Amino acid sequence: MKLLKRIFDEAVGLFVDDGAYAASIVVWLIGMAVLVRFTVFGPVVAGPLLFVGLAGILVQGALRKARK
Amino acid sequence: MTWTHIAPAVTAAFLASIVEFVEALTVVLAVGSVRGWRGALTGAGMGLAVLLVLVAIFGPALALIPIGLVQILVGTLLLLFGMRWLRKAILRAAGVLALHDETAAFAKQAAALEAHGVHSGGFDRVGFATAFQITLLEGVEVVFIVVAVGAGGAGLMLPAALAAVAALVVVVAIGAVVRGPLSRVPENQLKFLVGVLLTAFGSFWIGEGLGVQWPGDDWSIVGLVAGFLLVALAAVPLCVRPKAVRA
Repeated sequence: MKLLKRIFDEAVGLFVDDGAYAASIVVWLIGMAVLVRFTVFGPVVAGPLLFVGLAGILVQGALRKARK
Repeated sequence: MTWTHIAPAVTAAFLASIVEFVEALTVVLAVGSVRGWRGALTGAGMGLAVLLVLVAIFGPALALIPIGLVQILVGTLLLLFGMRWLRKAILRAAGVLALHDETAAFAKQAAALEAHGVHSGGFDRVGFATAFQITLLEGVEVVFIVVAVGAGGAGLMLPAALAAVAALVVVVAIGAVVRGPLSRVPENQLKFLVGVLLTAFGSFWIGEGLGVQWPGDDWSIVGLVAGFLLVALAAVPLCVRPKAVRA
């Protein structure tokens, strides 16, 4: 049972070790999904925007952790 | 399926597997040298068998789900996983987090095993359980990476799985020769590179799943890898903490 709990914790920890960081990524992805689904120009601009947003989240997340 | 898909997938699976297997090897070596090799090798072998079963179950199961949905689900998980690795790698490179040291990890594990007392004959449950757990825990990450990068397109699963097996063979072979923790493997640099590759892959597949029209089609994977690498490298000096000035 202990091993199963440890495996579960490890599995969740693979993806989320900082809730705010993971939430920012998911929110940005949802934003891109809305953009692609509901705008005419969405599919064309969403690729570069996806990269720019994720790059920003990465840098901001690293800076926030570094300044703690 | 083109080389722009296969090459980054195989590279990511191979390098990520090297990192995880090196970490597992350190603990298995500590178990072997402190408690004996029977428990260490049986535990590691059993862990690998469980991992093979997981691959056999989850690999084909993903093929039953529509590819668009798989790309969004697996892409999201891959992105969360890759960006977590990449942020840690940036912080390690900037000196904010301590670098992973296999020699120190080996010493710590050996001390913990010695604290259990001397093993005297019979089946060594402590040694078996320790080797089994570490193989399973580190291997689950390998399985996830293989299944995730392999699920992105038809024909990717086999090359990704073979890359992981090749990494296992390389690490075990070097471990058998060196008979000590592989502290010379540039783990932290590998983690940096794997973080970049997985983040780029995750981004591309989510985009594909959402219906994004990528500029340059498949070549945008290369662009994403280059883009995330440059951003991550640029972030390292920004994260370096200024040294305290002594009065």
